Formats: sequence, C-alpha cells, structure tokens
Amino acid sequence: MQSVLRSRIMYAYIVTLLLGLALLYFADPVLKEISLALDANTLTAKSRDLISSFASALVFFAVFVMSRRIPAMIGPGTAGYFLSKPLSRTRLLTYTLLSSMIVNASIIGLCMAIFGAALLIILPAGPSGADIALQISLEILVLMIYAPILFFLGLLTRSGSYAFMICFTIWLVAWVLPGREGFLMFFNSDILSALADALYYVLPKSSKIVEFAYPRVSGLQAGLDWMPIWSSALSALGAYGLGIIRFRRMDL
Amino acid sequence: MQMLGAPNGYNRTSRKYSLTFFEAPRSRVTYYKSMTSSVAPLRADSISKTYRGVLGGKGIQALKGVSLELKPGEIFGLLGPNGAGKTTLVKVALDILSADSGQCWLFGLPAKNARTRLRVGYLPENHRFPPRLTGRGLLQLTGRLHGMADDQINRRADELLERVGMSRWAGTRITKYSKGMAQRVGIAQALIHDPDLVILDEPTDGIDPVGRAEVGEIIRELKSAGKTALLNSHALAEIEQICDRVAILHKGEVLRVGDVSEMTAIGLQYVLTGSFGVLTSDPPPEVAVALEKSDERLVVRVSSEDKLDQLTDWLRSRGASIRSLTQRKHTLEEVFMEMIDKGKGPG
Repeated sequence: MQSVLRSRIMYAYIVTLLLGLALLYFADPVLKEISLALDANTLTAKSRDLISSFASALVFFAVFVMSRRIPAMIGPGTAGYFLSKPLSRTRLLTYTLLSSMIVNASIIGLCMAIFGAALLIILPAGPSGADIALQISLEILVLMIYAPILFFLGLLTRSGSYAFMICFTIWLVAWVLPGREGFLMFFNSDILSALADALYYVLPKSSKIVEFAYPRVSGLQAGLDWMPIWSSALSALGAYGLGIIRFRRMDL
Repeated sequence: MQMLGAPNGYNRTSRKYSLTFFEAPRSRVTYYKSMTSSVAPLRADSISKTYRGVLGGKGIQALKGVSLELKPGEIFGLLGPNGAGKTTLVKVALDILSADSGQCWLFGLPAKNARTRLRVGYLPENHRFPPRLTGRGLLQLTGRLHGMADDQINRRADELLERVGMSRWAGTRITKYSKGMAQRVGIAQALIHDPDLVILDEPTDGIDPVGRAEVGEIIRELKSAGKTALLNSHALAEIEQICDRVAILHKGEVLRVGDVSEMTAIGLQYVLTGSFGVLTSDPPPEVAVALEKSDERLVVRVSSEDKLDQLTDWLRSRGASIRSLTQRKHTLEEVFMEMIDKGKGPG
C-alpha cells in the first residue's frame, strides 16, 4: 500500500479526479440547464455515461499499474528475492494479486465516490446515491475480473507493456463480441462464427457487466441478468488457475 | 519406506518429516528451528540442469550431476569462472529453478518445500529489490515474508542496519543507494530472521575494501554463532581467508571439494626467514632438502614434521638465526587456476 501511495501513478489518479471535478464544476450551469429539459430516465442515463467515462480513465491507470506488477516481480534480480522466501509460488501469486486488487480497487473506489458525491450535489434530480454506488461497484468488478487476466498475461509475456496491450485487445474484443451477429453476417463462415462464439463464452463480458446496472439506474423494471457476472468471474478464475500453473512451472 | 538417498527421517510416502510436525501447536518458525542441528543444512544430489530456449533445442547444460553437502556450522565457498553453474546451483537449492534431475535438500527436507526456506537467508546476485522501498522497508518486508512479528522485525532491523553501517540511510529509498549501500542492505535482509543457513551470492560485489572487511567480519560472526554460510564469489583471496571448505565448479561439474587448508598445502615444504648468510653449505639431505636459499630466506622440504627440530638445531649450530617458520602454501587462486587449466583434476 505504502509503495503504491508513493508511486507516480498516484499523481495520475489525483489529476484525473481533479479534472473530473473541474469538469463537473465548470459544466454545472450547463448540466443544470440540460437537466431541466430532460426527463428523469434520460438524465439518469446521461449521468451513468458520465460516471462510466470517468471510471474508464481510472480503470485505465489501474490496468496500467497492475500490468507491470508481475513482470516487475519476476524480473531479473527481483525474482530471486521473492522466491527465496518461505512462501509457495501459489501463495506468493495469490497474495500479490489480492493486494494489487485491494489497493487499486480502494483508490478507484475512493476517487469515484468523490466524483459521484459531486454529481449528486450538482444533479439532485439525477441518479440516487445507491444507483451511483452500484455503478461504481460494477466498474470495480470489471477491474477485478481483468486483474487475474493481466497477471496471467504478465507471467506469459514477462513484459508489462505486452500484458497491457494484449489485455486491452481482449477488452476490445470482449466489448464487441456481444454484437457478433452483426458483423459475422458479412463473412458467412462457420469457423469464424464458432470462434466468435467460443471467445464470447471464454472472455469476460465487461460491457454486459456494466449494463447490469442499466435497468436499475435507468429506472427500467427489466430483470437483472446475472449470467455475464458469473461467466466473467469464471473467466477470471480460469486465468488465475492458468497463472498459478504457469508460475509454478517457471524457471526464474 | 525410507527414500533412497534421502536424509534420515524423510518419508516419501507421507511427504512429511517424521518428527513432530503436528504434535504441538508451535509456530512454524519454532518448529523448523527445533529440528535437529546435525542434519546437513544443504545437500545436493546429482543435480543436472539444462537451459533451453522457447523452441527447445540442445540448450546449455549448466549443471552436470552436481553433488555437494554442507556441514552444519561451516563457511563453504562455491568457486568457479563465469558460467560454471554456481548461481544455478544456488537457485536450484532455493527452488527458484527446477532441476532436470537430482534433488536438493535443506535441513533434511526437500528444497521444494517452501517452509524449509524459513531457516535460509539469501542475498541474490545482481539483486533488484522492490524499488519503492527504503532500506528499513526492505528489512520489514523480508521479516514479514518470514512470518516475524512487527516488534521483532523493528528491533532486529535496527541492529542489522547498525551492523552493516546503514542506519543513517535506513529511511532512504533503495533506488538512491550506491551499489555498495544496496549490497549492505541486501546482506542485512538476508539476516533479518536469524537464519541457520545464509547463502550470499557475490556478497562483496561493489563494496569498498573497508566494507569487504566488514562483510568478512559479519560472516565470521555467523560462524561463531553456529550458522552455516554458503558464499558464491569470485573474490578468491576473501574466500581463502573466510571459508572452511570450498568447491570448485567448472562447466557444470564439481572439479574438487575440500578444506581450504588442505587444498592450498604443498606437502611438507617450509619457509624460514632470518639470517642465513653464514651458511656455507646446504642442510644435510637426511634432515631437509633446500629448495631455495638466500641470505634472508630459506625454503626446504622435509620428509616429516619431526625433522623440523633437527633442521632448526642444525641451522643454529651453524650460527644462523631464525625469525619465522611457516608451512609453504599455494594461494587459493593458484589452486583455482590450476584446476581450471587442467579442466578436471584429482579429487
């Protein structure tokens, strides 16, 4: 925790938070004017988009920080230090993953809570505190699901940059896969279709997880769809398992 | 079923040490400390290791059936040119690398068992400790990883930082340290949990001569405290002064293992200093054979140590005065170079 608080990435979090708050402050008159013209559901949806955009920036930094964690730990000169301690590799990886998740989730949660509180003050007619808390939790959940994937990629590539880039690619692919029928119709290929289906079920469903909050935040009465959360949690568990297997077999 | 070649007490079937593992609710540190002290702190049985690339291939064979055993309480030196396999052997012993064949044991337990490392302190070569930590932070982290209590860690960290001369810079980030300072803190972290076996890979690397002497002193203190130390170093003069036994590794094979004194001894040859200008003849052959002679130095070979008394009597009877008499020795560096040149010598 101390080392994260001392790191330069903390400046990125703080600057992003300040930028977000400044945006809300300067946009205050405009937002209030718009809020008068919009119905409650549309206003809530707009607020949700605002929170989501802010969360994306924070999650981006968190993913960046976490992608470097494992390559730094298994790098030359550092691996010997950690692996010579009386901890099994499974425990070492698990502790590192958990500490990284807790620290980054806490920082992001705090930043988003401050931003959410500011939004509540500016738009009292917008989403409720509970709605914002739900959305913040889901954004953090997405980060938690990607953390084991990042760690596995870090173990596989031994490079923070590669892990970050591949993870970003996975996130993009996972984002578009729910709408795969739309582009698969142009190819008319069974193999491609099967591949896209397989990827859809294997990769986390980050867009669907965030959408979990939509019915509630948008005031809709549609039933909550838990499947993307369970399925993504299984993907994360799978990545964690593969990470453990990989780490235990690695010569460092 | 006793495992073939396994240290006494290890049971392969149960994968547990047959002492009192679950007997009493003692802390894991206490349990491992309580295990018999007569067991070899480190034992390597026929370790082979080949580094292979991503695509496999022939690879580089770093260790070829290396077997070694450290005795409790000794300071053991691992010598060898670059690429001899010294660091690989240490890494296999600490389960940082896995051996292709053979097995390592720490205090009678398989080195794969992470808990055996509770009793081991390690200073890696070319270490790169977590960069955001301070010197004190590194010791605290290491202590926690070894399951120590905070007050114990702080007390021990103060002692060790003082001992390695780093108290003033304890609150400075490691990244700001010079190589020598980082090395001193590295040695301190290896000792934070009062280990029974200390493995130091190039401990004096980057340290100034005064610091080297201090490191030598710390290692001697470890020996006096009954600890075992394994030094992996190129500094042969230091190894010769500090170590009880050494192993010379070359191209992944152990060329020779033995006591430093035995390795460097050259039979019964003695060097005498004094005033020998009055001598008009060499000592009689039945007493000693003169190998070198000058006014102030005489080198002789005797057939047995008893002859030394006769030699000194003979010299005094001829009017020569003797200031010192020492056994002639090779330096460890000479022995090392000879072994490496030969590729494989006796032993």
